[in-house]
Amino acid sequence: MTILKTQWDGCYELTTNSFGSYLKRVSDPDFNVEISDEQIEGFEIDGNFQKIPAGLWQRWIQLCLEMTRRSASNLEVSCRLLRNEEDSSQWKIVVPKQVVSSASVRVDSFDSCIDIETGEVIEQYPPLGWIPCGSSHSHNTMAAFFSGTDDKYEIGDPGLHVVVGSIDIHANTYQMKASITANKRRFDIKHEDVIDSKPVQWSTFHPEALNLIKIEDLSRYNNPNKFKNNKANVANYSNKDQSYYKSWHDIDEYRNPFHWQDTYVNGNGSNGEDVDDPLLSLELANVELSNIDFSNLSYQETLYAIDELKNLASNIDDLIKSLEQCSDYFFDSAV
Amino acid sequence: MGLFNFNINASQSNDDSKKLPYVEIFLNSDSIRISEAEAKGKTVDQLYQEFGDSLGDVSRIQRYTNSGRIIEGDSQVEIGMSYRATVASESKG
Repeated sequence: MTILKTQWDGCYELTTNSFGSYLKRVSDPDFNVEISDEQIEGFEIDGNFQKIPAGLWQRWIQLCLEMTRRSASNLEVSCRLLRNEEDSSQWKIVVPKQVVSSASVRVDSFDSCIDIETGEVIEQYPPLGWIPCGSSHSHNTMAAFFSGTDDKYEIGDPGLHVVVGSIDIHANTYQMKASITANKRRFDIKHEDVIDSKPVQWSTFHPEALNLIKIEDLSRYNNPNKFKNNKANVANYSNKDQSYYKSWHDIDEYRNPFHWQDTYVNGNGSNGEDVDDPLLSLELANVELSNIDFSNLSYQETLYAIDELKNLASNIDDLIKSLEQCSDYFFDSAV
Repeated sequence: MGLFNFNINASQSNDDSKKLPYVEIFLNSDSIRISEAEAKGKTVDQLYQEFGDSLGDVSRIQRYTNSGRIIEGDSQVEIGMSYRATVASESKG
């Protein structure tokens, strides 16, 4: 009997019975390995991998701290990671021209970058001899996690991607979440395996980097009164008490998925905007969208509006997934 | 360490692609090899669109290079060469 071996869907055997023929799934007679779920989902860092050196990483962290310090609403910022084509132990961090807000970064082209260490202007990306190998961005005081927007842009951009979050500018502390993306998948890894993050005194970003970072000018959109109200709402969210506030996913303690909603609307206490929570992400996207006058858009504003609508769709998707998790939990509890 | 220790002897390995003429395409530092038979007569852009999906989001590629030189996507591929591509913009949330 001939075994039919497909490229992706396993092996089949053409089987016949008294009524006719059909394909029956069979094991591959030439199989040579069993692969566990842990192996399929895992990522093993190369034993010879050269970490991002502490001095260079510190320059980037100092820029994250500076952008958090610059505005009362705290600002995000992003950078690109590159490795030398000849010597992969050599790292370079470049800061592209970008527009930042408290909850987003937009980079229209990497062709205008500054080397965070030397201040060298890069007008053609990637610079000759350097290979793009990932990115990092700051979530300022928000938790370090990969948002729906991050997934959208990072999963198809193979490399090391790191979020810096929970920044405390007074204590000079922060947290990181690191991942490797490859094969359109994201593998969570330990940041200490890829980054030497020990503090290095006097190591900081080149001041020219700040010239490429533009703060989102929301006033260019019409309807300023509406914006004011929404801004006030967001300020309320940022005042929620994190000690009381629990993660969306912490449903063991907060079984009602909307329990936390009352918590941060009333707000009392801390300074964290945990946008990991889908409703808050949704609200932030709504703030951005509510400031767009769709009847009178320039080209750039149209691009921005498209991006924001896509973010909103992504956040709605996150919310649906979270609600599905909750419904599964209720179903399991009931059973 | 040792997550991927599979005991497969060399004779069972069927990776012949390294021995045959091929074109290698990179997205950042990840790459795949495409056999001469599949690559012949195609443009760089066609190669990425047809075979690069496992590397990443090829629809966001903005630039191709070959030995550091920027090349057009409609350039014919040459067997034995490596081509690099990079995305050129991003958003973060």
